[in-house]
Amino acid sequence: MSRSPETEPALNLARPKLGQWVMAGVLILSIGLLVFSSVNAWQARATERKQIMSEESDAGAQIFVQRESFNTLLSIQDWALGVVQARDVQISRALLGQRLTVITSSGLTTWDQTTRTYQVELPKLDKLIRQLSNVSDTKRDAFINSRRVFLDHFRTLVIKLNIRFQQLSRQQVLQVSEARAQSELQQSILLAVILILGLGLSVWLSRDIRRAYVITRTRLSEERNRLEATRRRLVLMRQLESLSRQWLELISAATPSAQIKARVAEDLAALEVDSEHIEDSELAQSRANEVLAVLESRDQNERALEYQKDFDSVTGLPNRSTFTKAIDAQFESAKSSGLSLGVLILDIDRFRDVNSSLGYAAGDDVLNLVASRLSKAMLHGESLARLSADEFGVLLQGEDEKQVLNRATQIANQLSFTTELAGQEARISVCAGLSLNGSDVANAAELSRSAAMAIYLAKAPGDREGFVLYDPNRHQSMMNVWHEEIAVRNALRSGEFKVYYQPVVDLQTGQAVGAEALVRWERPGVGLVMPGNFLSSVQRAGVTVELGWQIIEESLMAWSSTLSGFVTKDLVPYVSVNLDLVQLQDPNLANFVISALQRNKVPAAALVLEVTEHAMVNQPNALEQLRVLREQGIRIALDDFGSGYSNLGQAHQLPLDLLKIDRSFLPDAALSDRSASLISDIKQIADSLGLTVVAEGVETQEVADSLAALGVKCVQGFLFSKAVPAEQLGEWMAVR
Amino acid sequence: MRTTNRLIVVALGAAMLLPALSGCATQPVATITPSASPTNPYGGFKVDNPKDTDVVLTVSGKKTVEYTMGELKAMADQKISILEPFVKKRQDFGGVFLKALFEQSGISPSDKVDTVALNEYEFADTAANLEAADAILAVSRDGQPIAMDAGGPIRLVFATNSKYFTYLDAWNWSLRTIKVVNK
Repeated sequence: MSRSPETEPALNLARPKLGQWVMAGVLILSIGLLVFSSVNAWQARATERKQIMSEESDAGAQIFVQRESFNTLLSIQDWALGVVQARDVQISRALLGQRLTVITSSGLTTWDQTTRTYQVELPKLDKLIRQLSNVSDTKRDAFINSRRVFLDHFRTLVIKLNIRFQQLSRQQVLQVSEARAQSELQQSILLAVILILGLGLSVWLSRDIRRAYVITRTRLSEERNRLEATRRRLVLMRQLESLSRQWLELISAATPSAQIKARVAEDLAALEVDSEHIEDSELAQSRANEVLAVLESRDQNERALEYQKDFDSVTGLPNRSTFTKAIDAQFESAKSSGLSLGVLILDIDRFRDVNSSLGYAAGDDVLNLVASRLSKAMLHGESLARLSADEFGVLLQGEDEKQVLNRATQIANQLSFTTELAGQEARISVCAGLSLNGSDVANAAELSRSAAMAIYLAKAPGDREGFVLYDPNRHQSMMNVWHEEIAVRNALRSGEFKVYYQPVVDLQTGQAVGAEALVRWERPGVGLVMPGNFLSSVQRAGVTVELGWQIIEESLMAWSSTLSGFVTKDLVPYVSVNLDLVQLQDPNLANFVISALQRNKVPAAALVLEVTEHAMVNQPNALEQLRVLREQGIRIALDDFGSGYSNLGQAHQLPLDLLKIDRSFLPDAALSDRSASLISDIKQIADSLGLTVVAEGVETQEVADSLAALGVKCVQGFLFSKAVPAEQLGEWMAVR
Repeated sequence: MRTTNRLIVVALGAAMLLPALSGCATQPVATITPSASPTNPYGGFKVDNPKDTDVVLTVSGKKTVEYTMGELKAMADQKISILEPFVKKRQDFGGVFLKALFEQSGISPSDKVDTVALNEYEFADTAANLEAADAILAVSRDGQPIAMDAGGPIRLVFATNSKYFTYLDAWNWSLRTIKVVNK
């Protein structure tokens, strides 16, 4: 296995070791010493040569000593012969004396280099020479002869000086040779040291260099292998990427697992991954495993979906689909066997309250508790299912209807119990509806629908106990109400509710100042249905708010398309929309209205919201929202004023702009005195509060004239126009 | 590694021992007290210098000129102080340039001249070389006549910066004759 560069200790190939530094230092020192020694030797020889020239050499000086000694003896001889005078002998001796003072290159005087006998006998010669001046010419020969022995002896000494001088010379030669030998030995040793050190250092360095070379070569080889592995890996990864894509496509295409697994194994085998490269094999297997994990996940999801298709995830019970299949199966079976079947639907009371007050976890706890109790209560041949949020279904069977009814009673009673939820004691109960497969039930579907109707009836307000058994004759009217609610819901979804507009006319100008939006149901197969005939169904179906928003949106669109064409500098015609009590309770009212105005680019002054006095007085939150809307410039009208619950005393506390007098004040033909008096009073109060009065339901010109006479400015009613679609309203206004 | 370090230590030791191997001893020499003269420890006795009227030098060129001690003293116009190379002592000499004497005798620079001492020691060279070396004929040493046993009465000396200062053969003592020896 190759080592990674990070884990391998760094080898510093460029830096010599401490020992090599020391060795090199010693080598340099030795070379320095050798150079120093050679220079010294060269200097010594140079000095020697110089001294030969600048100093009297020992040999030269010695020769001169001998020469002068002989000269002195010859002078004495010449004196004896009468050739020279005594002074000449003395001068010769003086010149010898001068020679004896010379300091030679050895540092000694020539005197020092003479023999001891010479040195002892020389003073005797001096004495002889001093006597010469006292000897008469005739006695010179005799004088000398008398001293012949001494003179011969001295001559011999002078001759023997040669031996002495040779000894000295040899000594000097020896010393010089010794010094040179010593110097050469020194240099040789230094040279040897240098050679040894140089050789050692070279060997050491070459060994290091060789080692570094080997390591570098190994590293390069490893690096090459790594690069090759990386290249191979990249190729493999590209292949795996392509294969993975194909495998994933097979998974997406819902190919069976076994087929995909076989394909993966086949593709892996075809990859031809070298078994020596374990990492490559592992990589390929790892990628395949990832894909197989996706495959497993797909299969799991499919199994989960399969389970969810048939079972409820919270309680683990079969769901509606499974329950329906069970009913279908047993209905046909019961037909032939003659057994009685019953579909019992159980709905947990106030389950929505549990969820909203204690949380969904508590809600799930309740569901599981009920499911558990029901499961335990099941007998052979009975089926149990969770049908929807808080609805459970039980398919009962018995020898006869009575047996089924008893089972239904037992089960319903078991589901009334006390438990602890979120630390609080809670009472759990259900309402139940049962349908039986009597002779009048044609099929399983009808049996199920009957059970659904029974539970619907069971949920209706009122005291009840046990369960409600569906009876087709007794429950027909209820069925109608139920169907009506369904129809209303469908109508809302399919856009069957239309908005019509009744113009509000200024009695003085005869022109429309606005229009009231009134909803109509264009019911297929029935025709135009007035609000009085469907609003209660809307309310029961719980879609009042939804319908209300739809009317506001459509009215503002109609203003943009129609009424906006009649805007003048003195008049902005408005569209007034009725708000239901339920809408006023919605906290999003103000936000919705303001954003709807912006969405449809309608000025706030062009919208009037009509509310009943009852709604305003009993909804503090509604008042606040209306104030917000009014601050935006939207006007608020008090609708149906005078229809029963009226309190003029409170009107001044409300955020109002218009007061609409209920149509009950206005008779068809003409105003009575009492009505006129009441309208007059209302008009005065409205004036005092700064409210504009609008009278509804004006159907005759006489009434219109009377109202004009009472100061009522605006009216609406059949006298001018019934409620019409937006397009017709535009046409009507155009011709006024 | 450890072997290599030991080798270094041995080499270092060897290098350090080298100076010890280079020692050299000198044997002392016993001396005997010589008989001295007043001017030379080995002179034996005093030898009188020539009188001023005595001829001490003969210079022979185109003409021969004999110089008495007195004449030479009178001509002495040069003074040098040198470390006398034979006795290794600093001494002051007074004398005359040899060149002046050459001119007196009509010796030209190209002439080869021979200087001869009382003991017949000779040194021959061209007049040009001797002139270039500023050869001086000294007649006094340290303000005194040069003793006979100190190379006197007259001798050739050279200044320290002269090219012949280290050429001791040219230092002729107790000079008596200078002559042209062209042929």
